[in-house]
Amino acid sequence: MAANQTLRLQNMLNPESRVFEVDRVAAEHSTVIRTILEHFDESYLAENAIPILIDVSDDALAKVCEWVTHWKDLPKAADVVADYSKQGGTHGTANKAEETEEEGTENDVIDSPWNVVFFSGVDAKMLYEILITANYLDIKPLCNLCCEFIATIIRDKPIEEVCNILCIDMEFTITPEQGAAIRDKIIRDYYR
Amino acid sequence: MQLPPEILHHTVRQLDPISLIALSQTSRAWRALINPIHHDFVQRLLALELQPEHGGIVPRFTEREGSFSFTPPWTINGWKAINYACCGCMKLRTHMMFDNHAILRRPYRKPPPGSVEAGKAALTDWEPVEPSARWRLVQKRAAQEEQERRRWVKMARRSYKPPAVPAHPFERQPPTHDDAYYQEVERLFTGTSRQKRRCIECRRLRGDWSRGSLSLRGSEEFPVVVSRQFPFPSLWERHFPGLLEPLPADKYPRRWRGYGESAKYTLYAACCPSCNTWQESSAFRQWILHRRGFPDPQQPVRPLLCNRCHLDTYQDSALLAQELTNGAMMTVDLQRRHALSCLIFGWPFIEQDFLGVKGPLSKYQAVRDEILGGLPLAELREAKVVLKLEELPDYRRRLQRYREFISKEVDEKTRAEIMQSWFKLWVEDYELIEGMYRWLNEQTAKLAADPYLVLNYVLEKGPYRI
Repeated sequence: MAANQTLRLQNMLNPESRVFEVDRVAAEHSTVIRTILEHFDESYLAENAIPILIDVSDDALAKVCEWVTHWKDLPKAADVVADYSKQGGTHGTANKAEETEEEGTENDVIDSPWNVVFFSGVDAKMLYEILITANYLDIKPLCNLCCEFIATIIRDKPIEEVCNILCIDMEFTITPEQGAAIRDKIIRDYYR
Repeated sequence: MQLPPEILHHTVRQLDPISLIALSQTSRAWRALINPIHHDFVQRLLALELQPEHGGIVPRFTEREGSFSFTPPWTINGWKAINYACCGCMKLRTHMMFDNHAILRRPYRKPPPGSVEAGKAALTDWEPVEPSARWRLVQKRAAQEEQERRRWVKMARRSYKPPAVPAHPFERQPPTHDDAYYQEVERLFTGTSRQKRRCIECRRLRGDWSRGSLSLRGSEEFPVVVSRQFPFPSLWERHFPGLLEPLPADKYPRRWRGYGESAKYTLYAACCPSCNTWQESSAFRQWILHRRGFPDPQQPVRPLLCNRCHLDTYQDSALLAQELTNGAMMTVDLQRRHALSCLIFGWPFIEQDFLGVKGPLSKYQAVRDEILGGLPLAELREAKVVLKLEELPDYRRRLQRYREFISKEVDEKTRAEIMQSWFKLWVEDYELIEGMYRWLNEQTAKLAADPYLVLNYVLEKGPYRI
């Protein structure tokens, strides 16, 4: 199969959805698409778009395509597994060095400034859609990156702000007067 | 929360201990998912003590061969805003609520940035398992860390090469370890037992006073804790901080200038048996603890009560005011007597120089009478004289004459022989010593003029509250 083949993806739950074209190398980040590629021949995939059966917007799908296209040269999760089996290794302690190396590569992705730009204009709804798309397509680095990003944005934030960011209805609510009384008590007890 | 559990678990694993608890307190669903255990709350508290807005700055202890330095400077104001976590009452409390061991011993110190323990404040060790399994994981991880530390100690011992013995006995001994060794010790061992740190109130409630410890004094009824030593310019500044206006630093004689940095006084924290609050020992009107140790509470006729409880119990403000004023005057008087002894320090030396045939100034007897004539020399020699303020100008005039005589009439060799060491310092700084003596007299008069000055200061400012 040609390495520079272009694959087409379309959200089948939305009839008006756009068709996204992605390089095969980039699409192979997704374990789901890799499995599809193994089971369908090239001519079939040339005629038909790969169906995405998840209710997300085109913008989110576009973002995911943008991410995999940018990081298409990143070692794929399946490649790593294949390397392990070639070397006769296991996931145990014997191959710790390789594991560490692989983690290092993923850490490079996470720390990349490009990702900061990638997530800069993303709101909570879009982030949620990217995350469920990445999870649906089983793109592990993107999933990890989204989790890391969520953790980063809620880190060091007060509970009220965490609720706003994650769109959570606060269930443990207190009145402003109760809040002020608790704060006074904390100051009195903790910092006396 | 509509995300798959593994995504949620992965997100939670990326949090720090503070955010983990914050997230668990947003909704029931997150609470059920995270299900925090006591260990998570402890980790959160230990992470909070490392944050500047909650715990203040992280003190740095630099240990090298025979030396031990601190950052921030070891002063009462430098340490004022530093709080430590008590894992008994789960609160951040001021450093004065901890004994020396809980603050200064390496396993209890705040870990510096870059150390293993500081790294734990950046990422939680949460795992999506049952609380009992979590606890086993925590124990297992702690055991592994302990094993790693022991392994490092073994390796360090094996690779240790004793320094070469100096060729000459007066040659300086080379350091036994290099800087890298101390940095590694700091990185691995600092703050490893912080979860065991308890404040003195928790230790009191736990009954530690009945077991006995070096830093725990007093008794179960009247517990006293030896706290840290801080430098103060004077004894009254240690007992009555801010009561009297301090003398500007440049007005101190040179002999005193180092005292503000070097004269250290031990602070004590004691719990009032009446109101059960911990206060600095000065609140119990014990002024010379640093010399005698804390008195036995069984011995005094009246139990030791803090100032407020004393007032509430005996309803006698005049009695308390008198006791406090006496204490303040006693502490000022100690320094005043010290200043007086310095003020009269040089006169016996001047007399000695004029005495006999071997004295360097024996041939200037006429000048001797001009300078020393009429002075109570025997009393000055035995330091029994009490200088009145009105006598000071006469003494100053005599010293001025002595200075002129020494600088103009005495040959250079004799002058160099006489003007040495402390005596030279006394001649040069005489005006400063006199100024200080006058100022201390003024302070004594100020305290005597207003019997309620100290009482009002104590009740309004509450300087001893911990």
